Amino acid sequence: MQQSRWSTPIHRLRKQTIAIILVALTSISGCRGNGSAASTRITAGGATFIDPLMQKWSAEYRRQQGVEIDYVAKGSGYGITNVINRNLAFGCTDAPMNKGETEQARNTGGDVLHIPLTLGAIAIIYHLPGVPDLILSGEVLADIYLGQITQWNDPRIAALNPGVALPAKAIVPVRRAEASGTTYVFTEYLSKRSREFADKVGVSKSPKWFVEILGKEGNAGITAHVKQTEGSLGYVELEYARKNQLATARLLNAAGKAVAPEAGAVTAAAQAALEAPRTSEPYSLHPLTFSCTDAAGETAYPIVGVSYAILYQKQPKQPGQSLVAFLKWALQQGQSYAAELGYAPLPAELVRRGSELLDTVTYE
Amino acid sequence: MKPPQLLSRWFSPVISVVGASRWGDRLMAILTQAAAGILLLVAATLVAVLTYQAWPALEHLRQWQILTSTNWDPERGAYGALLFVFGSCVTSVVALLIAVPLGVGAAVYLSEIAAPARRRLASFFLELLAAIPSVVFGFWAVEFLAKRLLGPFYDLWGWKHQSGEGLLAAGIVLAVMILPYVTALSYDACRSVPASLREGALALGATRWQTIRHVVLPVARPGILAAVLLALGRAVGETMAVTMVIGNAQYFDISPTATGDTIPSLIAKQLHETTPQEPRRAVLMALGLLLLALALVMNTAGRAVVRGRVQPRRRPLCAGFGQTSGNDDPAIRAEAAYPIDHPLSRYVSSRWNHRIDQGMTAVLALCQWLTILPLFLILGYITWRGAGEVSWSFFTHLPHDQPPGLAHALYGSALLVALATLVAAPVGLLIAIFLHEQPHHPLSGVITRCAEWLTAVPSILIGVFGYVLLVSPPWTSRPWGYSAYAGAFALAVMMVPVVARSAQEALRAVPAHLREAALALGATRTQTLLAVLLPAAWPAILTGILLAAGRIFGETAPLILTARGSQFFPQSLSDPTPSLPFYIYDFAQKPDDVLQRLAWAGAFVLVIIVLCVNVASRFLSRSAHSTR
Repeated sequence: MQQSRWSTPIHRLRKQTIAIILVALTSISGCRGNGSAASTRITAGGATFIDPLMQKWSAEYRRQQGVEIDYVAKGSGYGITNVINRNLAFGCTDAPMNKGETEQARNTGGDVLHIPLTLGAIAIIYHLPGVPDLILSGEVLADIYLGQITQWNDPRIAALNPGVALPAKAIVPVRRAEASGTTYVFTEYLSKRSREFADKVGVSKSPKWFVEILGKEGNAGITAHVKQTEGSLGYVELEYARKNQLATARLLNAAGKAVAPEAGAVTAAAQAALEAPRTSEPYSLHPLTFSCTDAAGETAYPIVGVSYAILYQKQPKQPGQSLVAFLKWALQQGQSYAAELGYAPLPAELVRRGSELLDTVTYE
Repeated sequence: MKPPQLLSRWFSPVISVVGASRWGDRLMAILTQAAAGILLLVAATLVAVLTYQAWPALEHLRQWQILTSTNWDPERGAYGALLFVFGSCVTSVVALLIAVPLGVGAAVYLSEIAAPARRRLASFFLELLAAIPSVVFGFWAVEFLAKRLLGPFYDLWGWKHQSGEGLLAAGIVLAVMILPYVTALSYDACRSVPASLREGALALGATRWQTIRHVVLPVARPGILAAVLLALGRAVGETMAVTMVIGNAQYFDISPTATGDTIPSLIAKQLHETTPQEPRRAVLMALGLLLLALALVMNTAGRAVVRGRVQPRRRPLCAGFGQTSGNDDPAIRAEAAYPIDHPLSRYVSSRWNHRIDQGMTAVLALCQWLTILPLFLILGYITWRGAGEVSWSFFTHLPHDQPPGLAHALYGSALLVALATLVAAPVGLLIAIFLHEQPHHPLSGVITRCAEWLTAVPSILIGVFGYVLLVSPPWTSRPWGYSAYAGAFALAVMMVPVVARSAQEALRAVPAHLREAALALGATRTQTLLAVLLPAAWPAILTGILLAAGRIFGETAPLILTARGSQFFPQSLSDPTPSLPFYIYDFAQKPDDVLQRLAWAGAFVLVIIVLCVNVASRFLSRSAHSTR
């Protein structure tokens, strides 16, 4: 009697406990459904600029070679520091590592290689119903981000767009919330065009903006915000604008021509930039790094970013060898996927020199 | 000696091996003390790691003007972080201004006026509201609160705004998040007011509102103050919901539509953008220390008030009632016996008093409705946006597949939580056993305090701890990188004190005579524990573990810095590991409709899972009570 009174609830609980554990275990193992057999995996991350292309490459390379590239886009700043900290096998950035970062890397794991992977236009996207075509200049953009032009019908915007009915609406510029290579390229362009912007904000991955501007994470975050908010304006890689069918502004280039962001205009800018001397930091610190903003040439689009893969020159055997093999693949076969996503394929010269640079990687 | 008859079959093999000898007792003592030691070690390491990394900033606190300047421009060597402190303060104050009146009003209504059925229902809803993960609050706040409520409201007044985002939106969502705590704790405070005091007031002719105002609230004041302090501690440390809706601006502004940033949000965004050598890391860590200090001070103060260590000044009550029993201070007694302002004349039955009573009852009822309303707004909106997007492929496919799904994130989440539970449940249980079996051990007070503190540590700091210790430790040249280990470790640190506390309560609830009977029959302490105490307390312990697991299932902040996220199923525990809350956060910010829909589906599934666990554990504990 005594025995049964005590064992009953305990007995039931035992069943409950076992049932809970079983449910937990089956749910864990059941979820695994289509997980493949163990394959080589390369942990990477960084720039959101190259993310659409990188995900395409990752899927293709997995299909062709069975190697998985686990690329998580969290901004160029994340890519650079996590490569320095060795949390990632390789990272991507649109801003070459500056002097301080290069030094920290040298103290941690040696020299870092910058391998250019792709070229892309940074499109100025805006959300203004009834204004499908808009021309802007670097000076006007700089003043928008300095808070000096606040209305869409500002006379300086109107002067660039004769005959366009601009609404009397507030401009809501958006910036990146995290350290971003896209921001770096964008501020580099604005600083080249506007003395005042260079003094007050300057060239940086995460500058201190002169006025209160809403910050969003990633190219995706800016795109989402502009897509949903009337009157807003932002800067993103072209593919984000295309995929979400957002209006992009044409920009006046160094030759004074209004150019739309397109692969052709990007290639033209890159050609001009490749011939220009690379004297200023950070471009003088690393071979194969170029500033493609405000390039000369009638057809050149003025804000062009180069996305670099960064990796230590000294690599462990694994995953170092798989990593170099992937980067070579991306440089060569991978370029054929660039055009369909709105990126400009690298010039053959850069592909050759990039592959040569990859050959200098040593394994320990 | 034959073991007593009470032994359950469940534990019998264990008991016969370890229980029946003095080695069993010794082993148990060693195990429980080791678990308690681990807790102390973790707490000490947490503080040590933060301090170590923050040291350069602490040394240059003045020179870098960290707490005196608003100039935050790390690239140019300016580290003025006053803006973030300001943001944290403003959002917390806004949250308190909204949550405290509502929560206290609702608590008073539930405690003094509502019928028992309504009371049970309301407490059930409040528990559900408290169980909703913060990333879901954030997602809802961006899409509903900011875009659909505040944005149009600002437009109405013609104010310039950033889609409704900003300090006010963050403050409101924080208010919603701390409402359950304020309400529940204030409710407890009101319930603990002795019934005789109420009856005395009513007998003197006071209306219900007069009783509440002159008796219940003054007597419950310390408890309510504690509720406010504890809620403030939570509000200061909240990360995800705030970072999604605050606008991340680094510009000083005090207009109602101002955007800003808070300390936890800044750490979540920027910590993994820093290297251990650069000053920005030290500054972020110093801000983390400040956050830790704030949260701990609030928590300690709150608990001290609850325990009666600190007595907030009480207004002398009318006519001698309302004095807490056991107050032997003669001065206070005298004051109570001869109140300066004799208010009995107030309690004359008049139409005016009756009107006020009715009006205030309605106001309190309204407060109670308003505390429940956000739950339905959130659940309704998430269901509306998310329920239709859940399909079978959601559970079987990857985000870039056709059709898309979040299978890897679900798997990763289950993996992380299972791993964390596997570590945290035994350790937590052993700590509870230590505290229960050795209440007079010199360390038991410290351990209790430590566990309380650990529950109060903001979750983002637990993430920082995991990041520094396991992802990127400064002392090795080959860091381990983002991994399931690091993620599970962070989650386990959050889980241990919660499990320990609930298990301790469960053990304490076992009637003492059972234990005494077993000991009297000659059972060793270990036998008593394994055969009597644990089986009797098991349902409650299990409930505690389930609740803790449900809570960490929705955690995002500690995982951003440790498990990171991944595009694939994790192959091993040393890979970066995806999790459901992480991908809700990530996809919530994407422009693609496909990913946005996945985020809504994910939020819906997450809420359903968390709520189911909550309801199931309630059911479990109730059924266990009824069989006892």
